[in-house]
Amino acid sequence: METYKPTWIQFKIQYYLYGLIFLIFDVEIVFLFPFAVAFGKLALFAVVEATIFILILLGGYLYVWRKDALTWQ
Amino acid sequence: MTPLQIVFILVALVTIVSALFVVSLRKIFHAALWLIVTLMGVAIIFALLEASFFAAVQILVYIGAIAIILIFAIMLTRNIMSDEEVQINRSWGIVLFLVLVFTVIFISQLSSSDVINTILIPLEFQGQESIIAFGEGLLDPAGYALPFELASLLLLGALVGGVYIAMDKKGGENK
Amino acid sequence: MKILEFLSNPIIGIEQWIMQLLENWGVTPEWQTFLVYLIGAAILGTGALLITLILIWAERKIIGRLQDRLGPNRIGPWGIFQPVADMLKIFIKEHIIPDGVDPIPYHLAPIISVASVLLLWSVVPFSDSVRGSDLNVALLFILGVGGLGELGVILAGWGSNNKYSMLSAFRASAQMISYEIPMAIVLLATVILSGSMSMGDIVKSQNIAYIFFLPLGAFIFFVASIAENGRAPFDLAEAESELVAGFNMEYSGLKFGMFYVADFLRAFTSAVIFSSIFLGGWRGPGAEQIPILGFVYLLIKSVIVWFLGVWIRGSLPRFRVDQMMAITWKFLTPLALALFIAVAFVMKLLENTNQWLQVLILLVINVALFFVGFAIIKKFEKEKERKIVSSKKRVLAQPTNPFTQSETGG
Repeated sequence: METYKPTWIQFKIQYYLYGLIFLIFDVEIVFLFPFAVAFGKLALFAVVEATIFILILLGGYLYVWRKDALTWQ
Repeated sequence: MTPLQIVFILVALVTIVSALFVVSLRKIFHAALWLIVTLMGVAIIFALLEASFFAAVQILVYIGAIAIILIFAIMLTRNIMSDEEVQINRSWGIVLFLVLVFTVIFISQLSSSDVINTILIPLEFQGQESIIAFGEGLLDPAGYALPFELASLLLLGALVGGVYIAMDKKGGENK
Repeated sequence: MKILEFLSNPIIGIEQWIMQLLENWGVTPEWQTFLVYLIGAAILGTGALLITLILIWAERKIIGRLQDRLGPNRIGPWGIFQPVADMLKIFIKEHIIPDGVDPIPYHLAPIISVASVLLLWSVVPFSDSVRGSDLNVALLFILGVGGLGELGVILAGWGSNNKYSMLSAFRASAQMISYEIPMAIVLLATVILSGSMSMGDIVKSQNIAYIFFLPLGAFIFFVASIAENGRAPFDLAEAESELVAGFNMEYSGLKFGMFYVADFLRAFTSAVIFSSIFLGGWRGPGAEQIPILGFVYLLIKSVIVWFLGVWIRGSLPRFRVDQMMAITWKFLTPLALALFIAVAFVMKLLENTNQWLQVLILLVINVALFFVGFAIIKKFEKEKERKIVSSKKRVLAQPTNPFTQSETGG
């Protein structure tokens, strides 16, 4: 049964934001997987490198948090 | 024919046909779905080449994240229930001819040189060794450590830029 | 003695018998392996689907008892044939296909949902030598298959040609993708401990079960896998008494049955994966010599974890959607990242020491992180308290004397 008049959805942009943040973190995790697998053979400096990697992204994440993009309205 | 060859030919055909569908279908949502089939085909080809890490990454990132964000974006920007546009312009015949000529020349030149080998060479890596070597190379300061950190900066730029642009829209919605 | 040897490792015995049979028929070794794998995959898939029958009955019984009522008890003693009755009902229902559906997504969605759950069974190690396939990127495979699940939900919502279905599907898939990040980060921490992404290696390297190394990680993984499955208390997408639609509203008969099966089976599958990664899988006393015992241990451990999930389902009230998203993005993800950094540093600094020392230090750090994280989040989010709507007394709502009420205009 068709609806009476054409309806449209109020598509929230929140879905797109969640997808975007998920994508960025997904790629970050993919970068960290070889690090984790090769962990036994790496020096302490490599752990520092990976921490810098994560901290850079955590900085961005903090920005996103403060901008209120993570809150579902 | 070994089963491997049969699988490869099938997968290659499916990938090419679905790529054609992506660019030529009228309903854009269907084009997005055929894109997912194409990406899956590429993942299977990675798996056939024994690059298991990249096959898994292809599925995880491309199909699990990028295709989903593409579908969300399509939903966001179009009145999707009613949208039919012809995707082909008038010069498609000439373009097709040129592409075929280019493909024939390209493949014939490549297969007569010694660079491309079409026989599957078994790798000496067992189990996790290829990924361990990958990880060591990626994190090595004399290796690819700088591109590794630059990749994180790139991701940071994408994150901040995307959120900044989208938040304007979101703020506008709430007013 | 041959019987005992066969019984202690029946699956390998059957496999060798089949390969011998195929060899006698003159099949080349490559096709032999291919056919054996095909038969194994069919058996595994069918077995997993048959387990669902027991799971449905057990879950309904347990939830019934938790809610102080008997579960199904009419069909067969203690209602054990209830799932059979359910199955028969679902099989014979008419497939009502609504008018404007898009045929390919509509029909493909339940298939993709069930397939994404069954694929997870292919990487679980049942004993030392018995598993679907020893994939060397099994953990990435598990995460990727979660992505396929989200795709199934979106296809179901879009294919139904129903705005409410589509909206509900988007909400469900946003929930699923949000909870995949903490899961993935905790799996990263596990890979640091074991040095390999293959599930077989992870189980083999657990001389001390990883839940002792990473209790916080196990907690995050458990919560995230319940939420990714869409079960209570995270089941806003399929709230039985609230929403007009779920994404599977327009499905009837067997297609709906497939979504139902995928939901229930996913709960047990994530319990199996949790017990493989954190509780030691098939390991236990005597499991190396007698592989069938390993299978029994895995079953016991995953039933315990699954029971925990059902217990939580029957006890906790549902989360609001904004609470649900806040939990993952503001609590679980930063916590998981902090855990990962802490594990990386600690394991690198303590690299060659005794394992129990590592466990102790990691345990302390885990607990500390949990409380610190909780406190920080509480402080952070404090300024968002909701305004109390009205604290004035309302005269009409509190009649002091019913006989004089009419004078104030009641």
